[in-house]
Amino acid sequence: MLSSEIKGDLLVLFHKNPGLIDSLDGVARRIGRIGTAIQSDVQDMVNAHVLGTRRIGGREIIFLDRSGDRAAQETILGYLKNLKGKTE
Amino acid sequence: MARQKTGIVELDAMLRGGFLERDAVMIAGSAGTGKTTLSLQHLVNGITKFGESGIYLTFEQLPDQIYRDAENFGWDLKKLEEQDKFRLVCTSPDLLLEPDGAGQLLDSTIKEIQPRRMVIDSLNHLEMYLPRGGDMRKEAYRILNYVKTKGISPLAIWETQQTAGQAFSVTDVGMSFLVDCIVLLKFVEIESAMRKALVIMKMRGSDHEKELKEYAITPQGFKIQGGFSDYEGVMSGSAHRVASEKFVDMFQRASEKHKSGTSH
Repeated sequence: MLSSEIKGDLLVLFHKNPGLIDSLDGVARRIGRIGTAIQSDVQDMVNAHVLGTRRIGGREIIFLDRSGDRAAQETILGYLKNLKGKTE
Repeated sequence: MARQKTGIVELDAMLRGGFLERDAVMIAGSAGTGKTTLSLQHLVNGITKFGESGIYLTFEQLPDQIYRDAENFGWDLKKLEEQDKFRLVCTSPDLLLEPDGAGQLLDSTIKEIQPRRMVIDSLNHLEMYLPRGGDMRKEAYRILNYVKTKGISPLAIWETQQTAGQAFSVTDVGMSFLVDCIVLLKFVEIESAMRKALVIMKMRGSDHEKELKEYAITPQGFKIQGGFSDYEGVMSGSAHRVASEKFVDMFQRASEKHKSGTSH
């Protein structure tokens, strides 16, 4: 699941901010990127049930799939611990 | 009339028991006056003291900043979320401005926690994202009404520009008629120190305290102190002592001087 840096950034963003609901461009901005750059990673994470999508107007919005499987959440925690260890 | 208490005793007294239920409230003030703190405290007290769930809708700050800031006041928002009594929703204003944006963004959260209070932080952000020619008042009216029809009392934050000087005019905002109650937070300069003043500028359908009150942001949150009865011109941002107070001061000083002179 964590096959790219973008996926890692998205996991951290949504784990720290579980109430974030935003468009592709809005989410991308929050991790310092543009929408097209994160599109395929977002799709992978939607397929893995980590993120969910819905349409508002003509746009797709992204949010944390709180009912996503537990394995995904554990991966996030493991990733965050690893990240913390590296920065200490 | 059913009241919704803020849980800040002195403020509830100023509001004659609290905000009127389902009234749209605006907390206005410049940066650093404590609008977010007051709004969060209103939500947290709603949950912990009155059993009313709440949503904090933010466009600006990411939730992790708000969790951290709340923790500094001893408010554990994550715990309240786990208990399904609170939700912190962060989104872009343009999504809320879509025709069914409010419903699409908030309906599921409303079903989950059945909130009675909602903070919208802030109306300025909505205005920033309005398309050219868009009418901010219409959009704000639509969103506030959406919240009200769900049985929720909306509290909207509005950041004013001035830090000191001219008094804030709600008519400058152009949205005063949309809200039922306006609480203004303001910096005032008194004897070369910056102090904070709160005033209820409007409360539709209810009496309210008209006097300006001093307040402070303490480690426990918002704390309203005494009035500014010895000063005038507080709303102008540069207060001075009232003439009678000056006279009393001068008289006391002269009297003390006289006493010390005669005792030698």
